Amino acid sequence: MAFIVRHVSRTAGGREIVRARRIEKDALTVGRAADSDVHLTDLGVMLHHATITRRGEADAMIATEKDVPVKVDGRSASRAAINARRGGAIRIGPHRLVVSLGEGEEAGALVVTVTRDEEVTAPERDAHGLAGTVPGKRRSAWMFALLILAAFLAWPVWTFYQSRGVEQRPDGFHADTMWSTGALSSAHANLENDCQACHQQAFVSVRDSSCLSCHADVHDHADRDRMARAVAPPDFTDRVGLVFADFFNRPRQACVECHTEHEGAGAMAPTPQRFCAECHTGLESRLTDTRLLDAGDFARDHPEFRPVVMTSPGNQPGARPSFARLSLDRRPQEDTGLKFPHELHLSTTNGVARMAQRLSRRYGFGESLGCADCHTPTADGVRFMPVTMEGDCQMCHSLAFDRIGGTVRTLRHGEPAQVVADIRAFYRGTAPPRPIDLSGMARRRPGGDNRARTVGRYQFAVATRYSGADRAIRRAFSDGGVCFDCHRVQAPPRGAEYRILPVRQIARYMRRGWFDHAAHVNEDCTECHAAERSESASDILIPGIATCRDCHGGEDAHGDLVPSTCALCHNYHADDGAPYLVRGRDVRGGGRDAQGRRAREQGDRGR
Amino acid sequence: MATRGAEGAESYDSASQRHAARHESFLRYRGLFWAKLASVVALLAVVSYLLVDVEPRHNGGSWYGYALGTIGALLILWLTLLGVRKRAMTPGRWSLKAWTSAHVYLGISLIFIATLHTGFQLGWNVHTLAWALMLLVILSGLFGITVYGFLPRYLSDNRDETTEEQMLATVGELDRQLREAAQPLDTRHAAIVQRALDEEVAWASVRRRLFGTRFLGTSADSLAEIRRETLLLRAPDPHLDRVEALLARKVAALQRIRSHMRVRALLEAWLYVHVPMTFATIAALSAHIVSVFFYW
Repeated sequence: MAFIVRHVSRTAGGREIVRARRIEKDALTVGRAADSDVHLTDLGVMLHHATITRRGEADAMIATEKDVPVKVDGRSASRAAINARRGGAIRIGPHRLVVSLGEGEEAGALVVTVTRDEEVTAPERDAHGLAGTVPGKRRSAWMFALLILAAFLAWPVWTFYQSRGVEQRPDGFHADTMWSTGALSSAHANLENDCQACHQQAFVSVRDSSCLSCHADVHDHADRDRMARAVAPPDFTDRVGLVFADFFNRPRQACVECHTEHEGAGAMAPTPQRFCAECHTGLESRLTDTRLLDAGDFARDHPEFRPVVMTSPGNQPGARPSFARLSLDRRPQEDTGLKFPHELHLSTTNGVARMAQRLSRRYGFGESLGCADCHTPTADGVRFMPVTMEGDCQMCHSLAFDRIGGTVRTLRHGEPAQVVADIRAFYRGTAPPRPIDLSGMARRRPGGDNRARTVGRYQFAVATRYSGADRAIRRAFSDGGVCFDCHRVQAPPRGAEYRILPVRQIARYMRRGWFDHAAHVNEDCTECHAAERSESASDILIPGIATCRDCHGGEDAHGDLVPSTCALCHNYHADDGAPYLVRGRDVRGGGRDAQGRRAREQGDRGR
Repeated sequence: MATRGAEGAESYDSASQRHAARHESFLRYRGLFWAKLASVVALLAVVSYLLVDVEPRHNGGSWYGYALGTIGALLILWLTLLGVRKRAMTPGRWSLKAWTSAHVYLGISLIFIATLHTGFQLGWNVHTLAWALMLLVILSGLFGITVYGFLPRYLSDNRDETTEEQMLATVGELDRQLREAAQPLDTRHAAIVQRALDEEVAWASVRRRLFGTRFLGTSADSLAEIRRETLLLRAPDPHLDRVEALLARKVAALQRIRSHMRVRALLEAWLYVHVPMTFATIAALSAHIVSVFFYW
């Protein structure tokens, strides 16, 4: 009865070294103790770990010390039988003990082959560096690059193709919003989640059709061909932009050329003056038939104003007044049909002022007349209502001619025929004042002659009273008369009636520009309008550009000057609304809604 | 230079040899030529940014923005090429040193070029992502240059004339001796020693590798336990004493080697950010450029 214990180990080269020892015992001790029959070196093994006892020719029994389980054929046990014929494997720590039957020389002995799991040695590498501890540079480079391309390029592109033709996308995250370069302006804020609303084709810039699908009533600035000819040749900076624009398929003269989006929340930034000045400086050299003068910057390069002036009042029956744009440099005059010296009415020292003081309590005049006593602003405050005789003149320039009881009768303004008829009716329906000697209370003087003479004269006066109307009428319509004071009267040819030449008040001189009186409400009227020195109604009291430049500078004005770009007064899209910057001011002011005002104005035009 | 002029052309060779022999770091290459050039580039970018009037405000889509963007993108690609270029060392004007010097300084000037290209319009989008990744790359590079400035000296002081392999071999040898010395120990003590033997030399966690100066490891724990055990003994146990001495040596060896590894890791770490983030930047840059012209 013997055991043969074989220790198998490997050299560094992988060669096996087998050391065998024959032990003539019935029981083998297994452990770390040096005197063990099966000496296992691992420190996890107890000094005396187990005992293998032979129980027959091919049978053995393993029992562990202190019932510490070992693995026998893969199962945990503290005592187990082993059949050497079938072969049995015991695992103690990293050691493997295989029990088998001896053959040949070793016949009759039980062979215990002891192997030890090789320690897993790390592959040779630079253990000091970080390599192996962190993901490799090449691998993470690929990983990050692919991840970013997938998340920030492929996904948004996929989203783009998914949402083509969709009018409004559902709320929630859409990958192409990661491409947004900035918030949209407040007007377009509702489109923040709908990239496809404007960006409709890949690699094609936003087309006008996208804009026009909502902004359907936008007017073109001018004929497209003429605009194309009017553009100044590109300078260096433009060329850089054009190279990119052409390369990436961006059309010229598109909405987005002037209106840039994604510049941040809030009002859309006004289109810079450069876009106007590009065409409107040196325009004549490119658009030879233009009547427009060059304008580049309000402070440096803007012609004198050219208000629309009535050159001929068209006073002949059937004729219409004619108008022309005339520069204020030419000191144009116009025949409005009215005689109205502003200077006389605004004086603080003359009879007008005295009269104003007298009527002050009733009409709210001050020490003298002011502009606002006659001129009433329109509802939006931009311009002024026409002056009316009834509302603005008649409190002083009375047309009263008779009093019956407490009622004052006045001539009908604006209807000369009615005036004539009223005067005639007055002379027909009234008697001359009765002489005192004809009243019953008269004291008689001696002699009947006197009374008879008086009676005779009075009867003559009564008989001829009606014909006095002609004189009164003539007086009213001629120099010193009530009509003639203010109006130009056309003397009638024989047999015809008096004719008052029409009065034309110009509501808006600056048809191409926009002047908002409400914005200047803190200024005195006379700061700009030289009304106090105007002696004739034919003076045009529109101030020249020099007056505006007292406060308004160019686009890059600073200090006390108001920076004023083209869009402060002019409207690119040529509608009748206020220019963009003025609308913006209204919106900010909160009082008036620009859209509502535009609607009102369009309504006015309709009427 | 002055001496060379005074001594004449004859001494030119020896002077240039001296010059070649003296080490000139890539940071000071050619009297800071690239540093000066990059400063000029950055200054030009800033001045032109202030002078050029872009309406309504600076952004990447103006002609100026396109110009800066193109310069920046090409610069990024060129800077990336250092990875290819460094694998071939050549002397001369376009030597690797010159190239590296240009890489560092032009890379720093890229901060100005790219930031001005944004017009300071930053947000949560792919465009800002590209910019941020680029900054991360540049900052990691700056970190790398900084640590290379002073850490190598510490590294060689710590190594104390031994090589990295020798340090590792010391630990291996101590392990072998420990295993032998522990053979007579009983199970409980043997388990304590086994824990010390099982300890890996290098920390598995990168964070601990870089910053874990306060961690001692299981060998130190084992040493403390063995010391406690010896105190409890009535009579000194020569086996335990030997194990204790070996463990103390192992702990010291581990401390030195870990200190070494920490510095090595600090020296290398930037590159593990710099290189992958470079490619991440290029990917984000591609997405940025494509997206801008995809939706414009």
